[in-house]
Amino acid sequence: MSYSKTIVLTNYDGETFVVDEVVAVEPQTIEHMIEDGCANTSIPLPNVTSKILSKVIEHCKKHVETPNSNEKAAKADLKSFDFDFVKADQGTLFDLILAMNYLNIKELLDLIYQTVADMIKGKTPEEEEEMRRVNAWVFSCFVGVTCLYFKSKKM
Amino acid sequence: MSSTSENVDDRLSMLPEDILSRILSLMPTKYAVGTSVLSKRWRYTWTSVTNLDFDYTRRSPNMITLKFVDGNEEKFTKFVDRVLKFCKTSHLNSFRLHISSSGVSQSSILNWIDNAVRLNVRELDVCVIQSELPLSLFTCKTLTDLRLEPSDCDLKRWEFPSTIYLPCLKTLDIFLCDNPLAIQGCCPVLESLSLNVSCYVEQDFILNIPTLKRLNLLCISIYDDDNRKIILRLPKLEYLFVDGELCSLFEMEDVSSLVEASISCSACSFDFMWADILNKLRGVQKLTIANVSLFFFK
Repeated sequence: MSYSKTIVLTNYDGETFVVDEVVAVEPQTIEHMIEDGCANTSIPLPNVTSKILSKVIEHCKKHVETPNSNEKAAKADLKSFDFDFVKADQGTLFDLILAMNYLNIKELLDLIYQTVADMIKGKTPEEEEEMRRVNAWVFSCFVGVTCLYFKSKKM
Repeated sequence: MSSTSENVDDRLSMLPEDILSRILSLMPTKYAVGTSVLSKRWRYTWTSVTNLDFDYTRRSPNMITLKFVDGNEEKFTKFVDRVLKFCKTSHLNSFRLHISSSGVSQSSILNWIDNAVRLNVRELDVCVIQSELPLSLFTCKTLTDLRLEPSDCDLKRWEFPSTIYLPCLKTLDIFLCDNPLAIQGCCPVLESLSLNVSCYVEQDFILNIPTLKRLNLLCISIYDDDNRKIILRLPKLEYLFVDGELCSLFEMEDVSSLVEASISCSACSFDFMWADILNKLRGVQKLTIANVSLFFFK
C-alpha cells in the first residue's frame, strides 16, 4: 500500500515519527488537529514518550492495514492483536491509558479500561497469598483491590 | 528489588477522576465500592460510577437460577440502599439487578428500580423473583434497553400496565409477560424484540411494529389443537429467530428486507407447519433450521 501524504509526529523526547496520514488520523485528536490545519509542519505530542508513541503507531497501522471486512478471520486476528497489545506490564498500561486518553482512541481505551477493571476485581491465588503475608492489616475481603493498589505503588 | 523502585508514585491513584470512574464502572458494584478502603483518596471515588451491577443469585450447574434464602439479604439490601444514596451520577448508563433470593423484599426491589429511573437509566437488566415492576419504569424517557428475565422456573409473568410509553427504547427482552402486545405502539423506535408467544386466549397473535429489525420468538403451545396464527406485520424485519415449539401457522405480510432467519424448534404440532414456514421464508439469504429438543428438558 502506498499513501500520498505523510504526517510528522514529534513526541515528548523531541523524537520525530513519520507516518502515513491514513494511519495518523486513527486517533481522533490528531484527526481534529489535521482538520483544523494545525499539522502543516509536525504535530507535537508532548504527553507521549517514544516507547508509547511507537506502540500507538503500531496499533493504528495494524487497524488501518486490516481490511475492513466482515470476514471472521480478519476480525479474530484483530481481536487477538488487541488482546496481546494490552498484555503489557502495569507501567506501560498506565502510560498507554494516559496516551490513549489524550489521543482519544476509543476502542482501545475501552479494552484497556476493561483490563484494569479485571485486574482490580480479579487476582491469582498466589498474589493474594503474598498480599496477606506482606500486608497483614489488609481487609480480607478486599485483598484483590488492595493488591493492585500496592503493585502499582511498587513500580 | 532496588531502592529506586521504592519511591515511585502510585500510578493508579494518579489517573484522572474521569478515567477512574470509567474503570470502576466496568466491574460489579461490590468491587467498585470495595476500593473505598484503599485510602482517603479512594474513599468516594466509586461514587462517580455510571454503571451499577448488583448480583445476589445462585445458579445450578446448567446456569438456571435457583431460589434461596441465605440470611445475608438484609446486608445486601443495606448495601444497595447505600450505593444508590451515595451514587453521584445523574445519568446512569446501565443498571443490572439480579436477585434469586426470596428474602429480599419486594418493596426494596421496586424502590431500587424506581431509583434507577430517577437517575435516567439507559440500560436496565432485571432478574428477580417478584413479578411486579414500578409504574415509573414504563414511562422512562431515557431507557434504550430493557431486559426482564424471570429468576426461577415458575413461568411467572411480568405484569405490564396498560399505559406504557418508552420513547427511546430500542431493545426489549421480555421472556414471560402477561400481555406482550401491550408494547405495540408504545415504543416508537423499537428495533429488537424478544418475547414468548403463549396466550391463554385463543386468538391470533398479531405483531405490528413498523420499526422492528430483529425478532426473537419463543413459541409455547397451550392447546393441542392450536388454530392460532402468528401474524407478523414487520416491514423492516431483518432477523427472525423462532424457538420452542412450532405450533402455529405464520403469516408474514412483508419479508422483503429479511436477511437471516433461524427456526430451531424442539417440537412441531403438525408437519405441514414446517412446510408452511419454510415456504414463506423462501427468499431469505441465510436460513438456519434445527430440530432441537433441549429447551423443554430443563
